[in-house]
Amino acid sequence: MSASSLNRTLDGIEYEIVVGCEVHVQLLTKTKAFCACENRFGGIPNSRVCPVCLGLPGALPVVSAALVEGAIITGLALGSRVAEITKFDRKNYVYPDLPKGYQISQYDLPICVGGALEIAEGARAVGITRVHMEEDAGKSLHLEEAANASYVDFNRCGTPLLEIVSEPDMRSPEEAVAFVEGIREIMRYLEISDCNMEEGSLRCDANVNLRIHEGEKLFATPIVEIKNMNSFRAIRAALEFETDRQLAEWRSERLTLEAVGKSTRGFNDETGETVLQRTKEAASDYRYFPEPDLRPIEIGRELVEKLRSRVGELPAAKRERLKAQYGLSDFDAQTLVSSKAMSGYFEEAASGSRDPKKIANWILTEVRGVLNDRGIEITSFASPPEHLRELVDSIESGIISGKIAKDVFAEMAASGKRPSEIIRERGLSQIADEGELRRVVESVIAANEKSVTDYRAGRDHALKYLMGQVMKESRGRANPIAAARLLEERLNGR
Amino acid sequence: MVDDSTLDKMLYLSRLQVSRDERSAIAGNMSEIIDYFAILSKYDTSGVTGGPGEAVPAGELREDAVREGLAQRDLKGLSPHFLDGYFSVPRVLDEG
Repeated sequence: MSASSLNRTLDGIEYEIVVGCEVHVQLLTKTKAFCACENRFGGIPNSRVCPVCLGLPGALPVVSAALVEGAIITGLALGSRVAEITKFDRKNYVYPDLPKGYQISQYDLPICVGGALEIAEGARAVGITRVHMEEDAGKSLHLEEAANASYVDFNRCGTPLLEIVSEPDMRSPEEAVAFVEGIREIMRYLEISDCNMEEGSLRCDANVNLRIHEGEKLFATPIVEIKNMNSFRAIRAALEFETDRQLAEWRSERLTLEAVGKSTRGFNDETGETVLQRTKEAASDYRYFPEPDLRPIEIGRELVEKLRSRVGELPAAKRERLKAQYGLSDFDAQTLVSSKAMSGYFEEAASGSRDPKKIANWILTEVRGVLNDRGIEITSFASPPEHLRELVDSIESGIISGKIAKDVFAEMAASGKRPSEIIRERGLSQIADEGELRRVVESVIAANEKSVTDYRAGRDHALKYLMGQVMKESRGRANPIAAARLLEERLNGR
Repeated sequence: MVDDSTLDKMLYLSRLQVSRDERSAIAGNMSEIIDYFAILSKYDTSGVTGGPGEAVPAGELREDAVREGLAQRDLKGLSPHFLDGYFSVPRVLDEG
């Protein structure tokens, strides 16, 4: 993509938006990063704490293997280089929800470096600078009625986090949203994180500034780090606001990055504006130094290769393959690839099926309906994929009608029984035998003389009614195509 | 020698306040420390990975198994400011 195609013009100012993201993702490990306290959202305040995550004197951190493995898997999915040696560092700052007075993070030897994420928006790759491991802080509660006090819950303190830092490669708010959505899709698919923005398990800060083109000259406006964007809508709105604000500032003050440096602004969801919080700290302000309580970690290549096999095919590639291999639509592929388990279920059911597209339809309508009703995941669904394949094949081979199949499915989903067993037990197989169908047709004609007369008088709707009676008489089991043919033949005196 | 602006910044980051008389002594002490690092930097440390101690293989890290932490009664004993399930602290405004 050429640079000029990325440029915008407003009131005679030609400019380009430059965005880089720092995405924080909480991991779905059982325990916290450096202690064995349970890692989960919410619950009774301060009910999952210990001397380590409370920073009590003498308590020593112990690194969780699951944190390191989650970081490696993430790096592999993003095409990063996984370090052979990685270490933790202390990032010092003072805040009540950080009881140690420092956060265990990574500075100069992060676990993963480089890589890229393909985003749909703009159809290009956003470079990944690094992925590093750190711990979350506790949560402060500010009550209006308590004018002189704040309250701290340390349950979240020590929650394992990955910080994924992008290159400043995004050129619009939409691209930034697409990048964070891409990270969320991969992290959810690999079951590394649930990436729930409302609960804070996915958080994004964005660094944004403008490149102003004035003839041959190029100016950069001061970089602003925007915090507190708690939804995709907020990311887009904050970046749009900040672009307009920086343009206006450039027009009135012509401030440059060299002259002013960086600052931090918070996004206010209610006003849709960003508000200055502070001038940006430099790394030296955090007084990083190696964490003396933790040894560096050596990452063997065998472990990396073992974890690479867990990454497997990523969502974007899988969607394209499913569309090509099974003739699925964009929507079908997008929905089925929403989780690894769901796409796995589909592929197992589709493998060897007469009609994979129909399998997809059943999963997207009936199966998802049951999952939503019961609030369960596909992994807890009673019917294994081979049962769904058998059901769909039973329709295709004419053993049961589509209507009866829905009844069979309801029982399958409730009992976990095979469809063939349910069809046999309840005598649901379709009547295709002509002798038996003729008997049903004769009985319907005998019982509905008026409709027969109507049909013969040219009222075609009577045929629909009589066909309905045939299906009713056969309890839905009549093969509809054969029954309709026999009924018409009989009515037309053939 | 540590200059005035560096000293001011270090004092701010350390949350320390010193009197005018103490400034030159502290700046002198800091300079000595920096000079000591200047000596260390003469040595070739290119083969040193930078962490404390020998690296631990990733396969030997802590298993992801939950252990019970502190009970609420333990927390009450830790701090007189543990009230209604929360640790109370002087009011903070900025989100850190």
